[in-house]
Amino acid sequence: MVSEIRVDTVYNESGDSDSGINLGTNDSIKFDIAGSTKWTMNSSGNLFPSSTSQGICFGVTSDTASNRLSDYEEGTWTPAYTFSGGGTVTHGSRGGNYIKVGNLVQVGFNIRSTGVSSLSGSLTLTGLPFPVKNATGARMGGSVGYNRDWGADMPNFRIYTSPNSSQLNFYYNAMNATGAAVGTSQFATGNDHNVIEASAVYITE
Amino acid sequence: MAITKEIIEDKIEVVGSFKHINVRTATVVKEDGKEVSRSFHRHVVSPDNDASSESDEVKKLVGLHHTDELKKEYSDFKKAQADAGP
Repeated sequence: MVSEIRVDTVYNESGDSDSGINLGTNDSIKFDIAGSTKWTMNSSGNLFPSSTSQGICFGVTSDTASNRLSDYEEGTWTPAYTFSGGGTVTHGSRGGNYIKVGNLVQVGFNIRSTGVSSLSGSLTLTGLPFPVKNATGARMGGSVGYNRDWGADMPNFRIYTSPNSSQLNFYYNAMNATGAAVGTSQFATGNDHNVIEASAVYITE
Repeated sequence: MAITKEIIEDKIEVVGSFKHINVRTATVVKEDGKEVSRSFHRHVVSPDNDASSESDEVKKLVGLHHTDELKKEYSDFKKAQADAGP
């Protein structure tokens, strides 16, 4: 009985003999296809592709781009209040996080202002970690979990993404009226105002 | 045991018809030269953004892609979006 076989490579014998498992590097297992390493399992047991365009296909039996999951990433971003017509908003504590799975981005953020100067136009939230895809249906809504101390009462206060930009827009409307963009008269000027904690999900390029 | 921290832009991509520049900034912590953690912070430089505080590498891409013509197209696009309203 053979209890252990020590080899550096296990390759296919027939055909062109260039695919198999490569064990020739310390503390890693390499999966070779057509003579080059396509995936590597490292010493921590994590699996890495050799190219970021590679992924795992779900629900298909052949390689199809729209079924291939090739990206996952998490991190932080910095939200900022910006008015379309100019001016300056100074911010208090703020922060954002994101998780990207394939082309789907989920962001969460909190932000508040401490002062304003010479604002005009409508309010946007800039700094999204990825631009919103330019496509029909790419305008997607967000969910406001908490807000306080704005400059006016705003029924149905909401946020949404704009295709082909890296910003969120704010709007409000009474149930029996059309929507209106949040502008300077709805934006409070004092310290620790315009507080919002929210999240949004959108598709990126 | 030496612990070091470096902040690098480890991924820069140009995406979409308006050439948005995706910048990923990585904070890399190393112990005796071996990486023990890497965290990411992201931002996007769009044609209407001020790029004066960006790195030289990003500024080069801005200069290459964010031409006056593209900035005008993007400005018109955003104005049309704003005019369309919520």
